[in-house]
Amino acid sequence: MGRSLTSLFSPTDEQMMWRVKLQDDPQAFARLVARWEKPIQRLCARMTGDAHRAEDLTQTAFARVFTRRKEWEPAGRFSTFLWRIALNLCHDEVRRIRRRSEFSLEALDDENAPASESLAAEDVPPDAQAELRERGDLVRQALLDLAPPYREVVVLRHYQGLKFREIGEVLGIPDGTVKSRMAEALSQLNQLLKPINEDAPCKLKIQTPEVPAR
Amino acid sequence: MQTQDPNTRSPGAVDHPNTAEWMAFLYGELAPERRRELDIHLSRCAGCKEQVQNWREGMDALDEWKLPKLRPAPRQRFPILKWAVAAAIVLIVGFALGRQTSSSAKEVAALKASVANLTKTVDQDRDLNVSNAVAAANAQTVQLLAEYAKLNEEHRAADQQAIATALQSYDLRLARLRSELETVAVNTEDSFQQTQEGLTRLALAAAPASPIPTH
Repeated sequence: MGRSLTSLFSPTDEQMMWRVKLQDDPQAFARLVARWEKPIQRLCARMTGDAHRAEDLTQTAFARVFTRRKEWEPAGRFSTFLWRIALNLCHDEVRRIRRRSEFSLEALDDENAPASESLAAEDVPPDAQAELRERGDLVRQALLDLAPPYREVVVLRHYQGLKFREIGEVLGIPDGTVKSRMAEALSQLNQLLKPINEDAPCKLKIQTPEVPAR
Repeated sequence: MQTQDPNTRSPGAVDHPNTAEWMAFLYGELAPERRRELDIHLSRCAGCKEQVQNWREGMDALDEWKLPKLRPAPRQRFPILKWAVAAAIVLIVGFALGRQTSSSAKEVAALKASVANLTKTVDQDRDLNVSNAVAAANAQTVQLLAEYAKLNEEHRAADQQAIATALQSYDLRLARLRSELETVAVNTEDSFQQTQEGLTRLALAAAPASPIPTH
């Protein structure tokens, strides 16, 4: 990731987190939040498929970063620490929603219906937007149907733009495993979305994917 | 669906890139040289081409889910900045007020100084007055005590004189009483003798025949 001229003169995430850890520096923490708020919010929106939940989860994630500031190891990157916390929160949230809806996938989807409208693309004509929204919503649902170990790899690589090596650091697995999960996730998504791509009725046939050991 | 590794599809070919390499290829994480090699392989290997096309469709599908511009989380952003601004405003206002009221501040200082002087003077006066009053009181007390002692002495002398006078009068009255008593005693003696003589005469007169022995 290229660094802008201004970022060269500003303290690194690790320097600021070091201040937060040692001195409880609120200013440094505020700068970290300002830098990472949007990426974390996007991650949470992709992982849970719900933009409103993502707002709450983002706040919770930063609150947890502050609570666990003493656990942060300066040898590691701050972003790795932050992604890990946010991902765990997202997994917990999705599990909680599914448990509440008695493991019904449709319940999660129905609950997210208003949120999915808000996730529609902007700057697109209304008709095309409706179609895009529909297709986007189906992709969102298909992604939610992936097992969490696949979904997190897809979100981190495809949407968040992390390198496979970085994802391996966040998840604590070899980058070869990350890549094979990515390949498997893309194959499963393709199969889940095949009826749409073939202009078939939009109701997806849900298959429970094989969950790799974490 | 499990992804078939291209390596297992063509037993005769040994140089099929593996899944991990294709993922790095698809996401632009390969070195340029290796990337060119894979491009060449893709143009020659139908099996790999099909598999890669399948993954690309998956990637294209992911691109169809667009996120809107996300709102910032509903919280007070940068509370520290807010407090810093508030503190700065308070400081600036305080400074300005201080500048504007600097003359009155001087007056207040002068007033305070004069009040301090006054207080000091009052304290000194009070101390002086108290000591004077104490001294005056002491002198008065001594004088009063002297007067009291003198009066007391005079009273005692007068009392002694009165007692002496009274004693003298008592003595005189006692002497008079004694003389009167002596007079009474003499008179009583006389009257007793006269009574005895009268009785004797009466007895003599009442018994003429028989001689009554006389003492």
